[in-house]
Amino acid sequence: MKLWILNDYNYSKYLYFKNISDEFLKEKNIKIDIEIKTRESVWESIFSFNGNKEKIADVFEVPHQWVGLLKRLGLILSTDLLCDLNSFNFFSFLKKTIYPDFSSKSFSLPLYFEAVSLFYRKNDIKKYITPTEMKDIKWNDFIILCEKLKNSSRVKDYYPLDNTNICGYITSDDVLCSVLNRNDGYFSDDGTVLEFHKDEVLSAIKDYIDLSQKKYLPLFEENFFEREFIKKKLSNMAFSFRRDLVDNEMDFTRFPDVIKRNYELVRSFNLVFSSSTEEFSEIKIFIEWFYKPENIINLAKVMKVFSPFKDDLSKYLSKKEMEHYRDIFSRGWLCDSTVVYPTFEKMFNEFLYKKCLDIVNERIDYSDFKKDLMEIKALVEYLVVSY
Amino acid sequence: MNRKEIDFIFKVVKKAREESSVANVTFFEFIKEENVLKAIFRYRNDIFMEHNEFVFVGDTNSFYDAIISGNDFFSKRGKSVYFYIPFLFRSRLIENQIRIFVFRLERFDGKRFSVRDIRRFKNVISNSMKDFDLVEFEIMKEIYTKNVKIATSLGTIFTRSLTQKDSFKYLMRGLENIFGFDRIRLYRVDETRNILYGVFSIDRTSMINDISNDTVEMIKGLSSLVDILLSKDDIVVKDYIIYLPLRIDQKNIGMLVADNLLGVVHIKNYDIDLLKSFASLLALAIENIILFEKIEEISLYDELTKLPIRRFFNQRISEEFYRAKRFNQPLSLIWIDIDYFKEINDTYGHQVGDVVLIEIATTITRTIRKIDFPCRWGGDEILILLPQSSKEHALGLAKRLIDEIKKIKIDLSSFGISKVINLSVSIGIASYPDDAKSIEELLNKADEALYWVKSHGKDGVIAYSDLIKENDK
Repeated sequence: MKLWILNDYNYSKYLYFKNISDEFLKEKNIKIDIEIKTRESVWESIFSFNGNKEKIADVFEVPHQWVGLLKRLGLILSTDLLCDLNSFNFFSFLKKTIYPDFSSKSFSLPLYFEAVSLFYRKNDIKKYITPTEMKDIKWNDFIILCEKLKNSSRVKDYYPLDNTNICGYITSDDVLCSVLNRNDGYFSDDGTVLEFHKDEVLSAIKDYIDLSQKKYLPLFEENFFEREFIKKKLSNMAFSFRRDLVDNEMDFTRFPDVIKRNYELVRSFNLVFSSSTEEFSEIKIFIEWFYKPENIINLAKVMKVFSPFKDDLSKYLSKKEMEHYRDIFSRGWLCDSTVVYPTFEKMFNEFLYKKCLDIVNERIDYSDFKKDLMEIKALVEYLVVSY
Repeated sequence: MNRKEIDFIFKVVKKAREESSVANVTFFEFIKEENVLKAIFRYRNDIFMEHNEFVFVGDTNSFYDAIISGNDFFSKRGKSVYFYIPFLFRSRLIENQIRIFVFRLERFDGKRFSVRDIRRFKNVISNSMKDFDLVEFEIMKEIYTKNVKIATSLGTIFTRSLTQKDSFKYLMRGLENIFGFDRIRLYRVDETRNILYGVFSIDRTSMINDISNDTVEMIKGLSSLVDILLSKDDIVVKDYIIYLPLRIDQKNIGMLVADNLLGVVHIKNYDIDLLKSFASLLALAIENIILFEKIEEISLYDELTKLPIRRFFNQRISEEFYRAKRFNQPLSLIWIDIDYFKEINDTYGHQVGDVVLIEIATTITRTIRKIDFPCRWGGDEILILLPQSSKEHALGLAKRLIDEIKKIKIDLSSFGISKVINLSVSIGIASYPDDAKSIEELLNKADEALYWVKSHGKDGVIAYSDLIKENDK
């Protein structure tokens, strides 16, 4: 059986799956060939054409928002055929990752999920803001804080925020945190309108890009994440979707709000099962063997993420984390897994990549900002109608 | 980066790692236009991982200088120590192409790399990367072989599409399978209406959609599709979309639009070249299909009423009768005769008779289901084959037809006669399996039923089984 998992800065993820594969072989005598793929590479496999088609793995990990598209392309099996979902007590907000694109059939199983928070070194910032002010920090105050921190540092290459995005630039998910401050996501409720025409959405996108333009957030730096949050003197804060920055020196709070945000951004990573698999019975055995809370919690612990099982939080979160994340999960929100969402995300990421390059090359120009986004809107909405 | 290239370089890295004691390596390619190092993979403690990391190199600093001149570069943060080894690859196959590959050796214990390890690593790289040309050669050979295969497949598709049922669909499916576009749309020019209209679209799941509502007038400035077609361009490529005007002897006959919008994948140059070189053949194949459809229409359909002729009907009734028997389903036949048709012809002329036939055929076509099959049997007789239909269903339809036909008013003023004539029909019905066990029997019984209606005052309908009951009275 072939398993693709998505690449990660956290090397422990691979060791975990290697270990799972060894145990599975020992207990069930079934070999799992694991490959570590980037999103880009999985995407290419999905869209590579018949003549050269690399066979898609029997089981593979995808961001939850891809599930609707994979279902539409007929590439994945309904999980109704593979397991009984009633036996899993998942968080209710993960339901839309399991039943994509308003489907009544299930098409994926959540593996782990992430939720964004702002992490900061409490001792470094106490000169500029009180702990109480930091607890419910608003976007404007956060920007003031960034400016103060930046002005007070004389260290070369200092940025108030560290960039925890593995690829080094700003992507759609990062910006979505900011968009949720002003609008309920990028799309209208029915998923048919990309709301780039709204001023509040455009301002929210610019708000986030501005973090880099104002040199609060670095771009395209060498990736040192494997050694965790090591930039002690080079930054004091970071947005992270994981719990990987939690230590004695750090504190955490919600992503800075503008007024009163309705939702908290959560993103899920799910397993899907290839419809062209010849290992149907092996997959069934794997799901039954693997999808036990202890396995899933271990993965959450190793990756410093969250288990999709609702009742497991106390098994790996501290009391303080429980308090913080319970509040976040009570308003947990995921983007929809519609057919065109991944395409939109890819187009938008290309736009953001170019903007980030312009920033580091010091040639950022916002004159075509709206026009470029409106072109994406037109293409995406055309696809909504077509598919 | 191509999969074959990655596999080759991974083998080189593996070997270099074995000969030095470097545990961790990340491999990058330098994207010159962006001044960015793009990571391709990491090799960490015997685990191969695809990797995405973009490192901005700038264009004025020592890092940039080192990368473009192929000199080593050292970087350290905390206990992470990185050592960059750039390798400049000059292609012997592609003129003036220089690619910069960068190997980043990594340690996480704060210690420096030994000079011996770096030397050994670099030795393997410089010795093994010489053969990278071979990979390029293999890739080019693969593209060439693929192109030859495509050319052969296209030839087969173009020739076979003429003889296939649903030729357009066959042609579109063939193109989709060969090129693997996300979607292909076919448009045709309707010269009489001066419009460009959609025929089908097909997506990568082979799902075919009717896009006949997608029409645009052939006037410049109204749509980019029309503008491209009216220009002299052979092919137009816009990011993820390719527009291929179809022309024969400089006459526009349609347009093929292929896109990779869903996958946001740029269309490859060699696909563009191939499509371009086959554009005229493709246009010819489409023109042939159109001609073939016209010939089929002429040979199988009645020119006046546009209803299938007796030869086509005989072929269809055999198929339907076989299906009815095989799946144990009912099949009914309606036999229509236009009342007083001879008198209309004799009194007002054949031209009026033709109008009557056209009006009645149009009414019939409008009233029946898609699966029903009408036929101009000869003279003023029209038959309708009703698959999966019992006598009751056939009677219902016949009564609706009688009502609809009675609504027809033929105004003869355009023929210089001040009169409006009303129409009526006589109908006989027979059904399988109740009335007949063979095609001949079915035809005979329907004809018998019709004869009964005609001899009992016309303007009515009777089913054969009811006729028996009538006769028994």
